[in-house]
Amino acid sequence: MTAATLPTKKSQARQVSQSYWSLVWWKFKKNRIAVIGGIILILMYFCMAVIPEFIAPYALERKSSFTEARPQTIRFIDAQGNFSLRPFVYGLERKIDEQLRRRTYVENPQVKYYIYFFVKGDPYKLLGFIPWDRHLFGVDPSIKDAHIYIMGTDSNGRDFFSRIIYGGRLSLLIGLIGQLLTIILGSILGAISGYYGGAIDMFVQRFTEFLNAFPDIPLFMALAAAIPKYWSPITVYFMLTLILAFVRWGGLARQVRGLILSLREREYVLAAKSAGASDSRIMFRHLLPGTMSHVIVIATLSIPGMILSETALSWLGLGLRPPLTSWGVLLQEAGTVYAIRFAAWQLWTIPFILATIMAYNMLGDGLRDAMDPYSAR
Amino acid sequence: MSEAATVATPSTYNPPKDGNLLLDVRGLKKYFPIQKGLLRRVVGYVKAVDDVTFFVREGETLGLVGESGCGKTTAGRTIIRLYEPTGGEVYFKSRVLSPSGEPQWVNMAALDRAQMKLVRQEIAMIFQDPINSLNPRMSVGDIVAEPMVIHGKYGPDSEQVIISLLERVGLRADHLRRYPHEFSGGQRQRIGIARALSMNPRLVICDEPVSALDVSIQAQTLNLLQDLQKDFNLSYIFVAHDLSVVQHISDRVAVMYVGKMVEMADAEELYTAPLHPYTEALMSAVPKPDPLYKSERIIMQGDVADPSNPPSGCYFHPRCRYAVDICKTKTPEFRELKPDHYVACHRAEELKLRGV
Amino acid sequence: MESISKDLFIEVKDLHVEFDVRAGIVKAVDGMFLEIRRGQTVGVIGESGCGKSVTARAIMNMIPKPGKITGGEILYHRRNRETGEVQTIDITKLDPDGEIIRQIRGGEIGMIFQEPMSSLTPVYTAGQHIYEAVSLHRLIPVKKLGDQMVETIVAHRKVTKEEAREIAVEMLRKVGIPKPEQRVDSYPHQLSGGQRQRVMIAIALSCQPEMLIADEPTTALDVSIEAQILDVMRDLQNTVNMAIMFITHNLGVVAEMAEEIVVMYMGKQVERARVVDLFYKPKHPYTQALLRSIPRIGKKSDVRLATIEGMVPDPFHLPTGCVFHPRCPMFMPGKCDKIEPSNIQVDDHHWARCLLYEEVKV
Ligand SMILES: Nc1ncnc2c1ncn2[C@@H]1O[C@H](COP(=O)(O)OP(=O)(O)OP(=O)(O)O)[C@@H](O)[C@H]1O
Ligand SMILES: Nc1ncnc2c1ncn2[C@@H]1O[C@H](COP(=O)(O)OP(=O)(O)OP(=O)(O)O)[C@@H](O)[C@H]1O
Ligand code: SF4
Ligand code: SF4
Ligand SMILES: [Mg+2]
Ligand SMILES: [Mg+2]
Repeated sequence: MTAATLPTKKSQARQVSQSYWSLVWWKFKKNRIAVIGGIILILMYFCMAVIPEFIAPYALERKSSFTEARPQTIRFIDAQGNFSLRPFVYGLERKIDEQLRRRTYVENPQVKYYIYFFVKGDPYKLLGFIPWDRHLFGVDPSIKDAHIYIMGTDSNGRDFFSRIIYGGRLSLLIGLIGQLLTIILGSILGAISGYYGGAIDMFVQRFTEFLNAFPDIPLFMALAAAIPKYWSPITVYFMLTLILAFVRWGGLARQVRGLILSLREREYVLAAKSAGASDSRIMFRHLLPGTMSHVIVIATLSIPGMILSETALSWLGLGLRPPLTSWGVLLQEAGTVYAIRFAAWQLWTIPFILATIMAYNMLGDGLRDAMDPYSAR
Repeated sequence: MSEAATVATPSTYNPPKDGNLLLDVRGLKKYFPIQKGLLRRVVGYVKAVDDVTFFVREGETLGLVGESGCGKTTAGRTIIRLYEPTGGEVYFKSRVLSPSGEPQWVNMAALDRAQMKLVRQEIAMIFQDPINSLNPRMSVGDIVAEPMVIHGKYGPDSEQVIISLLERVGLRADHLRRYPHEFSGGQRQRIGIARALSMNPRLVICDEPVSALDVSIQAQTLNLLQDLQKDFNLSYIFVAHDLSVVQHISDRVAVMYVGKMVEMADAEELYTAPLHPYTEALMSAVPKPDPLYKSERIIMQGDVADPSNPPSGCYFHPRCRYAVDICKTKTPEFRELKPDHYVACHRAEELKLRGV
Repeated sequence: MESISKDLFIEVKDLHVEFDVRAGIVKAVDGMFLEIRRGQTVGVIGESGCGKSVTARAIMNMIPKPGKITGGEILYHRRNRETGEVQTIDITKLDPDGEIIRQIRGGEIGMIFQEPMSSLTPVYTAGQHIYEAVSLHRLIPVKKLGDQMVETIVAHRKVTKEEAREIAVEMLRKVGIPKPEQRVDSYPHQLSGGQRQRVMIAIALSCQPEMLIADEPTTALDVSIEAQILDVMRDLQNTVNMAIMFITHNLGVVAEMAEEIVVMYMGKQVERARVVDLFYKPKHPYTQALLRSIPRIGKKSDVRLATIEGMVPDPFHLPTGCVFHPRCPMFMPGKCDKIEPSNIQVDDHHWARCLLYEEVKV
């Protein structure tokens, strides 16, 4: 038995075990753009979904007398040309615009507020249970009336940057949770449909066709409009997530079904069957893992669609409503001609939405290349 | 789905006088429905296996050959009920199902799910395609351990058992955590062999186990299979197309044609003195590794028979050069013409056929 | 006449193909030479993983993803079907997705892929696969859907939908599939292993290519169908003067089909000779060992088969000198592990890469 003593054909050099996923990771790492997309997303989720209270300088509902104030510019050099290593903002001063007969704000170069890190501010509970009052940045709280609105304020005098951060929590999570539900629904139903065939298959197939026959947005609207107005905001939020997942699982189910159909004929499935494996073992051990890479790629690339759907629905007034704050709600508030004309900083939400979508696409494309079932031997 | 109409219970089965049998297949049938249209109406049947009878003795290798598409794979899979048989009986001398531990005959075609699961420990399969037959997402250790896990036999010392199994088939302990794509074709086939042996089976159904391997690895694998047979007293059903390989490894050889068994005999005898005209034609077509050899291939006239609409009488008659009138109407019986030499041909007694 | 019909078709010169896998770089093809003439059959044999399929794929300019052609050239002496003019193209220089190579693939050079299971799309019927091949060959932009495909043939080949189907049925009949009129509508999983392989063969032959690359075309077939398919290939070879590159493990088949044989080991050609010379006077120790390891029909014996010692070396730690030396029965210490043998002409039209035939000083 000479074979026993000889090296394997591949990778004797490094004693790494090349599982499929470690190969995927190795290939993924080589793709700069995808890694950047991934890092952006991790940062966004961490800052906005995990610790928004710390990142935002103000609490969500902290109102002030500065209503619809313009953003303050962060400066290092003051009007006299003096350089300061510590950045600062000028204080805002109310003025009445005679022509337009409305209140505006201008920066007053006489009043400087220096920006400090880890300043004391509105108290909150970090992660929901650790009481704290520090914020990532802010102005010295001991100065009376000190304020910092780097993206301006809204009509209630709330800091817009803080609102975007808090709004991101709901918007980003609705995409993730909604997609998770889609994956669970889509892959289980798709797998059952592909594996058992017959009546279940017929039903699932017809149902997905039925769903696909409607354009997404009108269907969302119809369903969202059916949510009773008197429900609590949180219930509405979960209902909306469910609706998004419900409308979108069909496409994934079809893909999974197709994959299962071809995997089912592989000899390793027969091998497991011939050893006496149960249906659920074959499904969860042999068939679904083979579809996972496709599912992950499809899911990553369709999360942006979810986020956009929420935004669109809320913008139309059919989705989330205040007091919940999401990017869609923010856009809805900004969505008047008046606001766009006089408080254009309220459109700062859009770059955040675009950045999220781009990051997801960068990540998704990278994952697709890394998981390419044909190049992974 | 189970259309097994008449299945004898083990008690009504009269085992043959030959006390050495392990598997006795009688009149096995598997028809696949042909469906048409939106409503999937059944318009006919592919008679992939149509009345197949054969037996396997303990510790022997039965080679199974025949035209591509004649139902060898289907027969193998129907025996262990990967496909539900349409008819026939599959008697197996099982140990696990007998309360006394003494081997006892059971009809596998009539077992329920739970009993069948137990019997699967005693019968294993080796597949043709070394790439497709191993789950790419499972490590070698998991693959080989899977049958043990399924049967709840995976314990603390199982890893040691698996390692010794891997070493027995020519792999190493450190291959345990590797993944199939890190191995060459021959090594993958060894992983498949190790998996088949992990429950100590008594019968192994090998469906073209060496077809995808190159000659030198094929030689290693054949040697390995023979060694394992001696060590574990295994019986093999060995499906292959390469008749020289079949001759090398088999004690007896069975020949199928369009879902039916046409001849079964001792390997030596079948090759040198075939009794069925199809066997003769098959033997004449074997390519010889000798460029100067002038092949005297018997060219079979006509189309390959269609298992959904087989010819009348003897299925081989449209292509048989010895066919006479009776062949068109009467199906020849599969009978023991000489001791241990079975054949299904009306003219087997009179014909003088050429072997290799 | 003889010289025209036998003129060069493909010349592979010093080809190098590398795969950048995680553990390092695999030199799958490492200085391969190959010549194929019109109307000629060249058999390529060698151990699994020695680079036969990669060489074949390089000729089609279809190296899979982490792989790259890193050196050498593949000269294709392309003959214009109308004017008969011969133009020489280096296939390695072509854009792998470009128009020229797509005309060549399938149309002028047909390939039967090694894995019949994974080379057929599970959602297409056997017939749809053949229509696709036929339409691909005739025109460049292909519409992908079944019905549309039949229409494209209608437009360009002036055949009706029924005739397009007839081509498929006829091809399936030629490769010995029973009831081709019905089987043309079968999906791959409804066919036996051998039937799938024959569908692959039908696809490759349906366009009557000028060269056929057959990568282990008959492994899943029984001997009588195998013989029948070899006949179909020989027929086509005679009628359209097709060149064949025949990759196989089956020495019996190669002895029957090929005029010339190239033996590969670790990405290199180690021996090249006429078929009779190779079987009767093998020069390279590897070829000699290969010929010993096959079971021979009619010689039933209880002895074990001879095997070649050891296994293919680890591609990241290639042996020094002659790559075969750790397994070679004729190993000459101090010589074989130091010097890399070159390709030597050992006889009339017979080359071997072995130091036994080379006058070298240590
Ligand atoms: N799932 C199926 N549905 C319908 N017909 C099938 C199915 N599986 C196999 N068949 C048909 O049954 C017949 C026998 O197929 P099988 O795979 O058993 O042949 P085989 O003898 O193993 O052939 P090969 O040597 O080519 O592997 C073939 O005609 C095939 O088309
Ligand atoms: N997609 C790929 N990724 C990485 N390595 C590859 C890939 N394809 C081929 N190789 C490597 O290239 C080498 C040659 O492979 P090739 O498929 O040409 O072998 P072969 O001679 O056709 O073998 P076989 O007889 O088994 O088909 C092998 O060592 C293989 O590991
Ligand atoms: S029964 Fe008749 S047709 Fe059939 S094999 Fe015998 S001689 Fe030929
Ligand atoms: S060069 Fe030496 S090692 Fe290589 S094949 Fe020739 S004799 Fe063997
Ligand atoms: Mg088969
Ligand atoms: Mg190959």
